[in-house]
Amino acid sequence: MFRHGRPLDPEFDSAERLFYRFEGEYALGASLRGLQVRSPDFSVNREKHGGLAAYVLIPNWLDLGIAAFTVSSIPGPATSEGEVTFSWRVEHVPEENNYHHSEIHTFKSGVKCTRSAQVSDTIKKGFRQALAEKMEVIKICRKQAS
Amino acid sequence: MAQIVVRTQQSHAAPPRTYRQHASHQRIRDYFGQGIKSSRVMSYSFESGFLLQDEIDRSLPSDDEVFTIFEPLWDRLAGFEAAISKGEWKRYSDPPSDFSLSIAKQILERLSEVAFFPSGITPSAEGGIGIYFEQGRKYADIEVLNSGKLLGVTSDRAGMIAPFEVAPSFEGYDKAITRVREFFAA
Repeated sequence: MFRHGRPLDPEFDSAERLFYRFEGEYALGASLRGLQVRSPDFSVNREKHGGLAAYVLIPNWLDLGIAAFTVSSIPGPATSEGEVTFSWRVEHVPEENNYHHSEIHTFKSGVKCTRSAQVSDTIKKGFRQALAEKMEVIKICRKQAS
Repeated sequence: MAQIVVRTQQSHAAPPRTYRQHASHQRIRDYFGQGIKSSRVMSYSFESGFLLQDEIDRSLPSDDEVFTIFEPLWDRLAGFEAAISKGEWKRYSDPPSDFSLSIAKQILERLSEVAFFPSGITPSAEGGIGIYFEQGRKYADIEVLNSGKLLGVTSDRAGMIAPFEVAPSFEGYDKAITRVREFFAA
């Protein structure tokens, strides 16, 4: 999982799986609720280059759950009431201790959003639910609920 | 004699926001929608009018049933508050703020008054509280974010996802609850 000098790989196949760590009580095979998805950007791990699902829990999140989804299940563009188009894309953002680290980013009229306030609330809400429904729990969360 | 709690425009500080409704069994069903346990039946008299208990569908929940269903939800909220106040919040998401806890309580209280039952309560990954509803494939939630925003969504989990904003007022909560209830009743 260490980078070891490997280059950034911007190419994602539509069938490539991405892994997302989550908190909350879900059964294996269930889909998530949008309430468990962050926005406008959040970390995932990619499967390509030997990326194991468990890598997304290293180093600090060993007790969290893992949900998997494919690149093709990232929702397509959505237009807000103000006729502004929002879109989402996964980008490879390798780290020295996690080569497979990637991020889902939100784009507003093609420009990457860095703050939550840049994204329409209802668009964001719809995106979170749409993506959550495509996520399948492959490891349950063992974290003690607060 | 019975009484049905219905939506009014009064504030929470006001006396019970209820009135006696002359209603037949069918009218109750028409109001609340088929298949959704969503009318609260009370046994004390109030103002004028009468509704015989045996006119009411036996499947409608009693106050005890409503209490039984909502008690674990209140307990869960109390658990969040206790964890936060003791500095024992163990989740990675931001803990719900006083604001989001307060609004979530108000919405939960309103839901219990109209006996519309959430499936659960969970912290939001965005920071805040989510109250969610699940029945078959249908899903809905009302989310109170620490940012002060209130949002809702309904989904048939088959591609029809409808997000909506919730006004931060008792009227706004009622509209959101009605929208979710009608979604499940459809």
